[in-house]
Amino acid sequence: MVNIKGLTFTYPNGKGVKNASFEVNKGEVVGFLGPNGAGKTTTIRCILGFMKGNSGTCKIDGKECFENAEENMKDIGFIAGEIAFPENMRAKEYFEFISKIRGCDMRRCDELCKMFEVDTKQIIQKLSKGNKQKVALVSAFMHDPKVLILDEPSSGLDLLMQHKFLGLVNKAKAEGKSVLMSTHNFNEVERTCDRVVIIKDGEIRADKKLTDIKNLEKTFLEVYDV
Amino acid sequence: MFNLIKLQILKNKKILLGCMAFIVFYLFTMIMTAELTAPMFENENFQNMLKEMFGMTDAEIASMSGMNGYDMVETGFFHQYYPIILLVLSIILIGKYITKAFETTTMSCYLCLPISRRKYVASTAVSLGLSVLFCGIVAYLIGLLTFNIVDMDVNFWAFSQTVLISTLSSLAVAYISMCLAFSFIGGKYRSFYIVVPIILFFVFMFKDISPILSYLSPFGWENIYLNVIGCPILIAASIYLSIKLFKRRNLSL
Repeated sequence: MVNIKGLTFTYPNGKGVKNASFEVNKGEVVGFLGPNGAGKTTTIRCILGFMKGNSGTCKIDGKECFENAEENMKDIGFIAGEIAFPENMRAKEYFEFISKIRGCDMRRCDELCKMFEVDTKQIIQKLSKGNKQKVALVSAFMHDPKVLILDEPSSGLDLLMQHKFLGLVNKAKAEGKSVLMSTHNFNEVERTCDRVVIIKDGEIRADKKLTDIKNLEKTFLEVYDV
Repeated sequence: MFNLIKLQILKNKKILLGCMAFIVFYLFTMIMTAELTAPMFENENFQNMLKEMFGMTDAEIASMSGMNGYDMVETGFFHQYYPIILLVLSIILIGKYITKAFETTTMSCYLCLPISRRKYVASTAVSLGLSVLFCGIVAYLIGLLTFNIVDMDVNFWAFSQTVLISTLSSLAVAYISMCLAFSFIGGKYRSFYIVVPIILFFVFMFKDISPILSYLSPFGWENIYLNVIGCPILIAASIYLSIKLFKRRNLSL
C-alpha cells in the first residue's frame, strides 16, 4: 500500500533522509522507530506529499505522493506529531468541517467521540493536551481511511485511552488497513506492530518482523551502538 | 471550496472587525480634528503660516476657510484618503491572512485533508477579496451615513466610482503582494506587513495626494473602465502565478 524506494531528501543543513526503502502492506502495522532528528517526520512529510524527495519514489497505492497529494489524502488518516487545529473552533464544528470536506457521515465520528469521551462543545485550543490528542485521533479515524500515518499518536493520552487506541489500531489491522506508526513507546509497538523499521541519521538500519526480534529495546539500542 | 472560504473568513473575523473599528476611529478623529482646526483657517496669522511653510495658495486657503469640519472630512475622506485607508487595510488584512496561512499549524491542518494547494491558495485569495470588499463597502456606508449626504443624485455616482476603483485597486495591489508572499516570502517576514503600511501611510500623508491616486491603481486613476477590466485580470493572473509557484514548494510542516 505504502511503498518507499530509495527516497532521499536533504535539508540545507545536510540532515534528512538518505536512500530510505521500506513498505507498509495491507493489513500490516509498521512501527517506525528512531530518536528525535533521525528522519522519521521527514519521511512522513514525503509520504503525505508535503515535500518531494530529491531522488527515489514514494507511492501510496501506486500513486506518487507529491503529485497526487489531494487524491491520496482521501484515503489517509493522519495524526501529526505537533497537532494543529483551526483557531476558535469547537471540536464539533471541526468534525463537521472535516465530514463536509471528506464527504463522510458523522455516525462513525459520534461513535469515536463516545469511545474516547471527547468534549465536542469545547473550543479545541482550550482543551488539555490529552483531549486535543483525542480530537486528532477522532479526525484521523472518522472517515475510515485505508492508510493510517500516526506520528506519536498516544502522546498525552491516559492509560485507559491508550488501551482503547491500541484496540482501534488492532481493529484497523484486522480490517486490512495499512498503518505506519512513528513512536517512542516500545510497549505500544509490541502490542500492535507486525514489523519494525528503525531509522538512524536518515538511513534505514533495520527492517525486521517483530516475531524475529527477541528483545525490541535491545535491538534498538544495538542499532544505536548503546 | 465554499466551506474552506467560510472557515477562512470566520478565522480572520477578529482582524476584519479590527479594520472596521479602525475606520470608525479614523472618522471620529478626523471629524474632531477638523472641527478644531476649521476656525483656524479664518485666522490671518495661520493663513500666512500655511503660505510660508506649505506653499499654499490664496485660492486653496480660501476654499478651506469656507468649510466646516464635516465638509473637510467629506472631501478628504471620500476623495483623497479613502483609497489610501483601504490600501492600508488591505495590506494589514493580507499580512494577517498570509502569516496565518503560512503558520505551520494552520497549513498542516488543511493540507492533511483532501484539499489541493490550488484550492488552498484560491480559497485564501477569495476570502481575502471578500474581506477587503466588505471593509470597503462598510467604510463607504459609514462615511455616507456619518456625513448625511442628501444630494445623492449628484454625489452617488462619483462616490461609487471612488469606492469601486479604490476597492479594485487595493485588491490588485494586495493580490500582487500575496502572489509574491505565497511564492517567495512565506511567513518569515511578518514585519514586512507591519512596516509597509506604516511607511505608506506616512508617505501618503506628507505628499500631495493626486499623483498617489494614480500610483494606487495600476491602470491610472481616471479611467474607470480600464480599472474595472484590468484589475480583475491582474488579480486572476496573480492567483494563477501564486498557485503555479506554490505547487512546487516543499512544505516543512
